[in-house]
Amino acid sequence: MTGADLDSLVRSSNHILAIYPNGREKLDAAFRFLHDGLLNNEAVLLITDEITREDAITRMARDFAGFDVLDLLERGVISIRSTGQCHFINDSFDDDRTQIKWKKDVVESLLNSFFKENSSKKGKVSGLRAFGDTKSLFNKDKRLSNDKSPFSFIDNLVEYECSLKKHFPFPLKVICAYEEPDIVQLNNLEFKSLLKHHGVFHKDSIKELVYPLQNSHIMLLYDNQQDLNDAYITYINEGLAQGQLCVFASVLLQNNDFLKDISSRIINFEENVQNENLILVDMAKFYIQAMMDDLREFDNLKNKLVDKVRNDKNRDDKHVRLIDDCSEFLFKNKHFEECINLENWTHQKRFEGSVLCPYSKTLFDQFPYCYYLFRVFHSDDIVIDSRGNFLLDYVKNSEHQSKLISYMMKRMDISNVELNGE
Amino acid sequence: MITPAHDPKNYLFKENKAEHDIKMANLYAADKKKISILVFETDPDIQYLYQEYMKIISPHVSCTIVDDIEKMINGNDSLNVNKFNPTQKSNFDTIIVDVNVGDYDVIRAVKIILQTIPKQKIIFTTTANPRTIKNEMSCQGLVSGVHILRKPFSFSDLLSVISPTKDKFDKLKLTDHVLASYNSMQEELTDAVDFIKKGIDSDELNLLLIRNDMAVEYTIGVLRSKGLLNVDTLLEDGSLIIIKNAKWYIPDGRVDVPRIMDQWDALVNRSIQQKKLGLRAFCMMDCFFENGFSTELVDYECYLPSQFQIPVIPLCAYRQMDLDCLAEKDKKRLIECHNHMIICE
Repeated sequence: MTGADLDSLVRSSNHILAIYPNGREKLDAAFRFLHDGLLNNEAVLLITDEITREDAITRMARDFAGFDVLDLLERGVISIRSTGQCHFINDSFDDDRTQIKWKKDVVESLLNSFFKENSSKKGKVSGLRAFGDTKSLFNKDKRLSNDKSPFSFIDNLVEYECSLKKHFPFPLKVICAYEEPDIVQLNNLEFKSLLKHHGVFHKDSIKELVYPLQNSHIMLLYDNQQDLNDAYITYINEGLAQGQLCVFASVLLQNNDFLKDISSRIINFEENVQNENLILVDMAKFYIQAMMDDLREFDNLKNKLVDKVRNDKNRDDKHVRLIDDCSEFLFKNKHFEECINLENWTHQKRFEGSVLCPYSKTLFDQFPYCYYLFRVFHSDDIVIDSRGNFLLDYVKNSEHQSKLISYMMKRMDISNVELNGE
Repeated sequence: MITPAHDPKNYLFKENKAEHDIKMANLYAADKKKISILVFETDPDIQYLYQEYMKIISPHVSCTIVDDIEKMINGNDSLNVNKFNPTQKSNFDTIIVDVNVGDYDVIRAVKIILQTIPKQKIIFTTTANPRTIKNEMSCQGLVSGVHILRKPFSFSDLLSVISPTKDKFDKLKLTDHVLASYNSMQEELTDAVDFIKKGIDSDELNLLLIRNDMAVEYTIGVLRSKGLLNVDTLLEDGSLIIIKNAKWYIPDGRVDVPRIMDQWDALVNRSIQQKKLGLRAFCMMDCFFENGFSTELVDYECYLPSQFQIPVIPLCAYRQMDLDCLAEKDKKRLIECHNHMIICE
């Protein structure tokens, strides 16, 4: 495997921090994640002490239909290891050592061939995905606490995590899996450090699309149109269910297939449109005006929405949910400065509610779009993917990173309150 | 002294930048007319489709549909595209042409239009495979300047190819800090000339920082050949200054930021003394890379604000290959300290 071969695969690399409510959900997620990897022609690695090797193999044989698990284990496409086999838990950590170790695993996995019927892409393994369960390190610490030993597995785990970067310079996706009762044992500083060293943050109970905060400007980076439509549906249906005014402002409303898909999945679409709980705004004219830097129509729309909610005595929840894809359309069509101008406007003219602006993730990897990424984003932007995971890879600068981390921590407190309330 | 000290804080723009940008954009927008489109299409059904689509955006876009391309190119009425030859400007922001019309050689016709108006935006529509059209285009020597829209297309497809005619320097303001990247010397010099022409028109003092390997006499010749016919007069009366970039930035082999800042101050002062509106500078930045000062360059650029408080508009012209060599972190910093970018593809 040459450096150039590796480079071409690096785009898919990621260091993901995930928090699960309990062990069962964590393991369910692990097997789903690894199965998706096999379907994507990736070698997979499960690191856990929470399930025996035999039980893991039985589960894989059951869940990974179409794959000969024993054969793949023998050929090194599937690996199952204990925590002790993987982490240098009694050592000190540095960037080079951890990086070299992971790179070795990845390079070895790339040497494997993969010819399974269910595989979407037949041929060589395209990378490695690993699910690293941290539970046993927390368990070991609990046992040690009785001995009053100064050694802490948790400290070492944090140190280990911080020796890794948000991105790996080789095709590797790793989920570092934590359970909620364990993560609360970390102090704020430790948790912040973890966040700084991961590119993606996932926590099921934080539902950015379900409960967006007031005044939040959400940049949703999507992989494909179907994922984006799913996210739109969640955002709108949840808003409607909570009695909020939802506004779907799109340049694509004239496209019948698009509208058909969206309208068929929105709860009581026609009734909600008729009762003005859901307002559809065709952004074609707005787009033309934005290209000519005329944002007066946007001002008018914003004022109209604010007045509507303010004067609606029957609506208790005054939060407005706005989807606006005009900026992205400008961006896609390379009207970069106009897009930046519109994003600036959106930040200036905030209103009571949340704004969801989609952007295609693949565009940001392409020239010349990549040059404008950090001018389009603002330090106050919440950057998520279509499943609501926070994307720490796409921060504008250190100020943006700090703000996003503070926001995520705030969200965690909120979700804890909600959990306690339940 | 216009800039009190070399403290970057003094360069911060007093007005909120975003507010300022919106205000300026609205002023700019007030001058704009609607977008005008010329469509050449012979199929009545598709003509009807265009009409329906245009109704949606009609107050902001005017559309003329014709079915006679010869008349469009050679006729005597207002549709005659070549009629606007003297100013090299068309009445139409976008011309959409059905490329498959019987025996008529549309590609040749479009070539004629582009010879007369090189910056005219042309869209070909076709039911054929775009690759076939591209091959035909390249056979006839039509290599760029034309987009292809495959039929049937949706409204958003059409919307995405419509745009107002834009000059890349139209939106720049005196006080902007501009980053530009180029793939060739030709592109860079063409932009340098256009940029300086704007400065001459606006009565600004113009500075052109050229590469070390470019002779000043040669540069003057290029400027003249690219349309700056009065370049000698401009140099004589001091409206245009040409200096080698290494002499400006690293005369003693090091990047001395305070010294460079003093030079900027002095030149801005000079522009004011000459009763000019301010200073416009096209700065080729290759000397930093040629001399191994890429880190110092990023630090220097970040010392400057993204928007100046003094009347100066520097355009930092980079070779794309130099930008590609920068670490991601440095590239990010460089982008952040400019408020306008022109990235050539």
